[in-house]
Amino acid sequence: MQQVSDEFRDGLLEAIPSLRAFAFSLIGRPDRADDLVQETLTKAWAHHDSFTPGTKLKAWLYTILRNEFYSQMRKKGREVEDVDGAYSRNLAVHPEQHGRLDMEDMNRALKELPADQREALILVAASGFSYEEAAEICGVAVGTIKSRVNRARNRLAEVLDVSGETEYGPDPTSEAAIAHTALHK
Amino acid sequence: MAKDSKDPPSEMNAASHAKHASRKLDKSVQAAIGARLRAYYGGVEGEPIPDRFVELLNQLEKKDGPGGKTG
Repeated sequence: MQQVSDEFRDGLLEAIPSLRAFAFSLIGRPDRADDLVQETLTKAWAHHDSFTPGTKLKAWLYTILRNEFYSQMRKKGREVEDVDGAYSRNLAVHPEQHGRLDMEDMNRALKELPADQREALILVAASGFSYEEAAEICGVAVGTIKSRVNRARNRLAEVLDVSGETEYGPDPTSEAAIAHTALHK
Repeated sequence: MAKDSKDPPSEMNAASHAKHASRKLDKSVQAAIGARLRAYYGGVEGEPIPDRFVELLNQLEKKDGPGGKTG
């Protein structure tokens, strides 16, 4: 087995923050999310030979994390459940970020989605992958990802009570910021 | 969660739900959801890397490095 290159190691290190965000958004609990990241890094290290240099390391790592997540879920025979409030106790959100309540709202809303829709939405709308990349990560057709993302957005709009008709959602400040963003689209 | 068993992820459903599912969201609603998702995601991404991960990489490197080959 070839030794792991510095470049590969640095790539892993660099990817950790996004891997943590991805894991957290799938699981909703920081402790379990970090365990999943740890397993992902260990697997990636052991299988570094199967990574094709020049391709996107981040996408490769996301694929590993995702596979690991589902194989754990299968082993447990159930979806990883959330103990109510466990994430809020453990979560260290930066004070300048939107704050704990928004995190909890989103966490709860994401739980309303079927797993396949949730991951598709996160990959495309939060992680910044293209539909094509997301399709590759999930091992499905691009059209499937598009349909999942679309359904997830619709469901999330309902759950979060974001609608086109009302001027104000649950949070006027972010609504204003959003309206501003929308104007500049 | 029993949700998945009620609603099989099969894409064949997509067609029958198409009317509801493909309802095009208002641009501002899409933008709103996107912004909130990114704030949520970015909140975690913005956290410093926990020490356990740096230690993990150091450990893996040691195991793997010259003189430390485990096979």
